[in-house]
Amino acid sequence: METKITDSQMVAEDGQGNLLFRDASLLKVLKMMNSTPSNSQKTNAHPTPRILPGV
Amino acid sequence: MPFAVTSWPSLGLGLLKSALTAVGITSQVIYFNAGFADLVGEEVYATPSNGAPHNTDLIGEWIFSEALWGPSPSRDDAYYQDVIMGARTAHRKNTSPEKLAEAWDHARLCRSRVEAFLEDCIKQHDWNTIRIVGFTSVFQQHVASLTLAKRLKAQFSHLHIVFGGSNCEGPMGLATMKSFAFIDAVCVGEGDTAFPTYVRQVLEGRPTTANNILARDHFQGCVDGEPDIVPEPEQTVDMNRLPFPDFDDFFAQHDRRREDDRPPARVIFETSRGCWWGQKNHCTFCGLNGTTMAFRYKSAGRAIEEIQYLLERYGEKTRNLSAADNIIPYQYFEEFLPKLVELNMDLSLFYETKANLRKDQLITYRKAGLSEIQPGIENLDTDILKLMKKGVSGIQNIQLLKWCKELGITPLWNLIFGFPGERPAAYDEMARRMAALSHLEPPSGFGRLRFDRFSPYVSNPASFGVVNLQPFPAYDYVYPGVSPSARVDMAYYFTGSFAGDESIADYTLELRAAIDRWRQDAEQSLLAHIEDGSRFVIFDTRHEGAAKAFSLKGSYQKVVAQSDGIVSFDQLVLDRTEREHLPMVIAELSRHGLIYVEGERILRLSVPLDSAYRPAPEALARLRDIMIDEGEDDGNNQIVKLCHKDVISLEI
Repeated sequence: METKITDSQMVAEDGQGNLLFRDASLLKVLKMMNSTPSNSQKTNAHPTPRILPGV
Repeated sequence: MPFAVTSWPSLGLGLLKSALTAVGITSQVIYFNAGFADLVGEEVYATPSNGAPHNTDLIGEWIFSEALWGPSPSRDDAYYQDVIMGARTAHRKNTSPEKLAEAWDHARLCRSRVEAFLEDCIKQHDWNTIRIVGFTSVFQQHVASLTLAKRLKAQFSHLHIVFGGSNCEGPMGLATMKSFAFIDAVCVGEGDTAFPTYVRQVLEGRPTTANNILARDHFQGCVDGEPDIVPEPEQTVDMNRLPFPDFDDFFAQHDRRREDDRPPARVIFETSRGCWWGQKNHCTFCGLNGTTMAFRYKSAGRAIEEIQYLLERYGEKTRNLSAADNIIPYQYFEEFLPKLVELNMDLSLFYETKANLRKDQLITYRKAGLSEIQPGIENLDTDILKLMKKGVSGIQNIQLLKWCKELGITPLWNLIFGFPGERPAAYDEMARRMAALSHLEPPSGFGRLRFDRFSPYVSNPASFGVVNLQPFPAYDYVYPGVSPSARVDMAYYFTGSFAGDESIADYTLELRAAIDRWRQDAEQSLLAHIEDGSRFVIFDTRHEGAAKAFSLKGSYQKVVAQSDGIVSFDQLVLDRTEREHLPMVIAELSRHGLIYVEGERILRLSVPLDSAYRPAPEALARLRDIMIDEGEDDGNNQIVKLCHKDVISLEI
């Protein structure tokens, strides 16, 4: 494809309001789907019972 | 004893075993709680052990109350109606009928196994060879402990029964001693020195004079009267002199449990006691430190040695270590945490901490292995936090939640409501603002303020306008044979009244719904950004409908770029024209939920994609839905496109 992103950019507009990305971190995250547990998927219960039970 | 959690050992008993060993006294720590969990299954056991439906329902205590006091179907019926179903105002709850029914089913199943369990406890050991039996009692372990103690004393009169643990601290211990004649002594404070001294005196048949120990002979045989001798209070001053805890008995028993029905083990360690914040400003609701608020901590070197020792001994079983501390010593940023970073011991640590941390401090936490923390967040409204004397603002709490997301630290936190003097409208505002926070960790617990023993609300209720303090009604059902005055002294959870409290349930309805939504949305919510010199792009999946992105340039870009940490309007570096635009820029960023505004301070809410942030798969899928793969450019770089209809451009 003919990109409009220069070497120094991660993001650029294509002239029609669309955004083009060449950002390693974005692509890395998009590829990460289904491969890494999220921060919020806890595997261990809280170690002290000081948390109020959900109501 | 039940209903202690089965996944970690008792720190108190581990310390006492080491202390006894040091003076040549043989002891064994028996984890009867694990035996009970084996009988009923870990899932069923977890209900009372986790304090469901509510801690104040005392369902774990109720389970053993029949064995202690004898059967009473009418009392059980009344407990079910008044406490579980919430007929009594103090026990009113919003738990779903399904969850309530499950908790009650689990409780009844547990109760049906109590007699078999107690028989097992007695049969499994040769009590004739034992001189002293000590029970540690924390949270909902008291009635189970009393029940076994009573039966042991009845069958083996030579046994010397001692109680301790936080359920016995101060007046609770005295009331326990006065109410149960089969107990020979109660440790009413820290037992590090007192207990080994006492045991030695008992074994040698000498008069018992240990500090912190209230012994039966101090009463001269009068059960209901006051003691003739009040033991001297004593606290461990030099934490470095404490032994390393001995958890061998725990792991031996844990290893014998069925592998498919035992929780992963953790090791408990301790680096401090008391609270350095509470010494200066006692949080109004906190009773955690009992009579021992004075802050004491181990030197960095001693703390590291203990962790290394525990890893050497138990590291093959688990690398998860939880600090029992109520607050991590602030001095630990200087030496302890950097040393942990340097040692790189492949740990997963848990600590409780104050919430007003700087980012560099949180980074140090993460590098040191702290993967879970419990910051005392408690609320998101600064005025209510002031009422609590938390020493932190709402926006600081949100800053912490955001940075935790970025750094891959799980913050466990409660949202507590119903404080005397709070502004009801604050909760509707909080609920409205929560929609912008759904990519952050939602509260694990959400509940109304209760008055805990040792908290300022209980020790000085008049200064908060609190009247009519009394134990939660559940205590009547689990201690029916205890005098009303002793029941008050044994209680830890209290109810009370104050102006405006009748409308708390109403004015927090919106908040309750907002937290439910937050919990539901958390797994599909993402608010993350990338930045290059030309613009700031924020991806957003927090709301219903298609994901979207914000392309920020000019003043918008400058404001979000400078507000990773809380920044005041005045602190923003802007030229004259940009400053003129600032009110509009802030209003617009706030309207889209991209910044959080408190007074004249702001905080960017998005998390950098290029970080330890790991959005949930559902959130990434929603983002991916609007991304179009454009293949590779001339330099073999992969390119993705975001269509203009999915982009909101803000530029001025």
